[in-house]
Amino acid sequence: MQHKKQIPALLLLLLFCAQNLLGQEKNFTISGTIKDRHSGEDLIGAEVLVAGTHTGAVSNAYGYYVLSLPQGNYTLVFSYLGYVPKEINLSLTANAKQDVTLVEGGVELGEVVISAEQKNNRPGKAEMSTEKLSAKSIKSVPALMGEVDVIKAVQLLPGVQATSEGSSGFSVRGGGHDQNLVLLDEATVYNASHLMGFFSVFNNDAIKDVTLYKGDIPASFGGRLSSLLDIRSKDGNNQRYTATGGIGLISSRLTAEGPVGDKASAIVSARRTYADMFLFFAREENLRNSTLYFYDMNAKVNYRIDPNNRLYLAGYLGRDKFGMRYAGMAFGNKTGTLRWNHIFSPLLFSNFTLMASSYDYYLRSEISSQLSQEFESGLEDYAFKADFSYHPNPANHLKFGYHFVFHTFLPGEGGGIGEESIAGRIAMDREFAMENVLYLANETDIAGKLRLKYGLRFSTFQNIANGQEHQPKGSIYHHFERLEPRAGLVYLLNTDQSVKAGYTRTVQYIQLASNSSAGSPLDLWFQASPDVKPQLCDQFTVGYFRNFAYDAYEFSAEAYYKDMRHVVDFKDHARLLINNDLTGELRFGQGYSCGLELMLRKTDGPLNGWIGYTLSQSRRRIDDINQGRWYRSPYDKPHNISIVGTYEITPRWSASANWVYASGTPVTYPTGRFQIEDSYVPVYSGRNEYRYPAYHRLDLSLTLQLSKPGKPFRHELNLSLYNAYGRKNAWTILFRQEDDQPDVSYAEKIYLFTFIPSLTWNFSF
Amino acid sequence: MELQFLIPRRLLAGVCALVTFFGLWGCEERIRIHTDASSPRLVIYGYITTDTLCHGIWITRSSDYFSTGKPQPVSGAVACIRSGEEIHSLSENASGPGYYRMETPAAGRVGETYTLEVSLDFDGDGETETYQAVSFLPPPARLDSIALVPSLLSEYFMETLIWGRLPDEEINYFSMHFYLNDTLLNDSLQGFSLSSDEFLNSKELRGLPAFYLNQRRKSEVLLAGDRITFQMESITREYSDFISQAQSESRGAMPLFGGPPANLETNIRSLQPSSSQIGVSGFFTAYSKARISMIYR
Repeated sequence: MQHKKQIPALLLLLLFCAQNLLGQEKNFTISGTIKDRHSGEDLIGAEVLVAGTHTGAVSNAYGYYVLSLPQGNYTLVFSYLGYVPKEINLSLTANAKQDVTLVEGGVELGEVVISAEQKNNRPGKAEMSTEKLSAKSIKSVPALMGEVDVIKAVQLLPGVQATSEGSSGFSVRGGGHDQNLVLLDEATVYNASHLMGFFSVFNNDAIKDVTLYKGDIPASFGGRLSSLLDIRSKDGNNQRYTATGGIGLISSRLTAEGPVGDKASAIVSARRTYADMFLFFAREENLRNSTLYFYDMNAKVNYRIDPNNRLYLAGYLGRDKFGMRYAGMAFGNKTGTLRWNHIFSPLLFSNFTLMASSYDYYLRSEISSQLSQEFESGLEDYAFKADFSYHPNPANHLKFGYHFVFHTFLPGEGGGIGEESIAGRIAMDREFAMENVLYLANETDIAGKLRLKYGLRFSTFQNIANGQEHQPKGSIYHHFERLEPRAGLVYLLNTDQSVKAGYTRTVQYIQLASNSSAGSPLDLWFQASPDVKPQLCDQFTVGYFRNFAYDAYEFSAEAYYKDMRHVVDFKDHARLLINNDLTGELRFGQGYSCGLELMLRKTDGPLNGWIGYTLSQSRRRIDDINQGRWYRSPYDKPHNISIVGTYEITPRWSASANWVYASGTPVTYPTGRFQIEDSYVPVYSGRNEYRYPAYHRLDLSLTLQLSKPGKPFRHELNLSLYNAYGRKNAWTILFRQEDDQPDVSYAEKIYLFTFIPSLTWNFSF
Repeated sequence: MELQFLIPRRLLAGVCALVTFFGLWGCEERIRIHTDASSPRLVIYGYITTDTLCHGIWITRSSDYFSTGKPQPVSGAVACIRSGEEIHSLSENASGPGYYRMETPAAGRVGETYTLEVSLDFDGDGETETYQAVSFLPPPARLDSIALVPSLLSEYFMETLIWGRLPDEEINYFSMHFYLNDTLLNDSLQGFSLSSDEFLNSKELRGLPAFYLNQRRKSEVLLAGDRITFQMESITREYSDFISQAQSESRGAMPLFGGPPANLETNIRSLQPSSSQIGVSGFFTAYSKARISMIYR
């Protein structure tokens, strides 16, 4: 109870601190939007800097910026990575509105001065442990089977690792693959994988911006321990009708976008694989009648009601289907977002969002009419958010808001199909929960060189009775509340260098019942409850950031330490599917991870890319696992290197390459054996005592522009080669007995992708 | 080919196989692995069934994983199986060291609880250690008839159908075996066909497909006059889990669907203080059998 009383007091204190910092001097505001000149797309995270000072602002997720300045004459520099910066001189004598458009690459002609200043002010930003990727940079990364993939690009960043060969699952700073919050237009994507994880659900043609928060997660976000992957889709070109697409080895895609009247624009993007079309030519009849494909579709409409009001409606639908005559499975996500931006005043920007998100899977087995059965499981979220951004003066930027989420968990239902089936029908009880969040954060500039960021997120999680176990349906039978403080500071050593520090507490109320470290489509989400405490993580980070050579190079070094509590794992041989007593399978404990991430990135010129290195350690200690002793987490890979480069050889030819190296995945090997029913059964080492051989891989790609510059129809050919030197990286290692000498055991490595070439034709008009 | 009925785990396994078949471009390559030797574990494995036999147990010592010899037998143990006042001593078979069996034939009785006791000096420290395991003997299924029909699954498959009734217990666990002319077709650990009626809507079996004979496989080709026997063993849940774990661990796990490797759970308990460093593996169980046969014409 004492704790409850402290919460409003803490929020008021934060507000008071922020209010004290409100400007005493009379200021005027300059505000507006920053957009791409050719497409009209909002530019997220574009910078506005008052020339010759450290004062500036960053555009929000809707391209909106606001600066509050005393009366005077100013030169504002607008910049965005990969775009030509623009300088605008103005005399500020009253509140002003200044919308700006920037041009991608090249040289812009006209009234605007081209400036090399502050193309990328990473050292000065009051954020750390954050990586941004543009759709263009994602596209330049060589891709498996030519499928450009957001998550595969994210996996190349320092501190991020793929959970297994080719997987879309990822671990951030030693965290689990279910500890990443993946948002598409603010709606949660619960399973970001297609085709058993080999491809992600995100179609790069529909994506505008990707930001990964490895720590320093803004107070407005939470619910996962390790990271936030915030993906924003394109709004649709509001200048002209365009189409982009591609025909690749396993899929084709098409995106159409354009203005709808004067005030709206829309985009529709779709993708489908067609491996099953080749099955038609198979000799086996069963194979000919098989199904094997995935599809996804993104659509978005945005409507500008007036300069202060804007509506967005966005949706995603994706599904995988695999099936033979006697068995099959399907799984997929659906998300929807309805958002209203309202500018109350130039200083107060607001965003009201309604969201829906669902994930489900379906299994079918029809070996005979008596044995036909099916099973389905999933979850649904309905959410509302109200977010406010307030700029009281140049030195402060307040953000506050309220979030509500209603979760419905469908642990599973199914059984026999048809009257002849002898399988009974089962329906596990649905479960319900509510999350409420209040947050307040402020970013303040102190004496020009010191920037301080602090915030508090107050979250509650309530289990709602489903009418079973003597609880009235709809009543709240358990309640959690947690305070999640966030803090960070930046000290600018000079315009090119800074040191930063941060602290983030994150809480996770729902988690995956997944026995596999890579994740599978059949994993279930389950909630915190009286028997399952929410997971909690305190992360401490320090870093040094430096730009070189007129910002053409960025260097960063970040060290982190994560202390995790109430970490969930599963008992040996856990049964996670159709188990009404799932909590009986759970084991709880603690964990930590620590590491050093180094990154050198080149952002300018014909050659650009990055070199990243991570030195890290990740450990767990869970009751009843490894006899209660500390053990390596499945994501403990001490050394991790990624080198990513793109080189524009000529205006028509460009080449890309990436090389990755990672220490082997921790593994439990057999150290002994005994015989049961004439087969040998292993006796294992301690949990994760050994490692697979180190992982490394080189991918290459070459792109040829087939069209001449200036032509309305542009097309290109992309040839990529995954795992160019054919490294046989272990996907798993199995232990077997010789057929002719059953007393002789041997180890066998299963590897997946060696030397996979692909050809993709991309076009736009 | 055996067919397991109505365990979601099997449904999943089918789907996993389907996905593996479609989705993976996996290749295999032998690899040399060095692992440290683990301390030898005491392994006790055996059962008593409703057949009248000299039932027995095997006592062995675990070896290094990449050793190439047969399991090392453990001799000199004193063992017995108790049920109430009834005690069956087990003697080491002179021709098979490490195999301890009853001196006179006996049959397990449905509903009885059997306790295995083993005493031996496993670590050679001069002290005798004692181990114990307990198992209930579940009731058998009733098998009324059996038939063979061509399968709709494939023109090469013959489908075995069975009629009968499962025990009235709330949940029953089974293993199934199939004999062709007294040759066991699924005689390996992986061939053990496990099942449960946890999700069945009836205890009645009315022509349930239970086994498939692949007519392209030499050992399963049917000829007129062949004798076909289906055997259904009612086992305990713990033994079902043990065999399932043994199958899974001996096969190895795929990253997408398998959990982390883990030692098999055992019901063999040491009666020594918990400070004892001797690891124990294996299982002792009791089960009932039901059989039905037919002549193929």
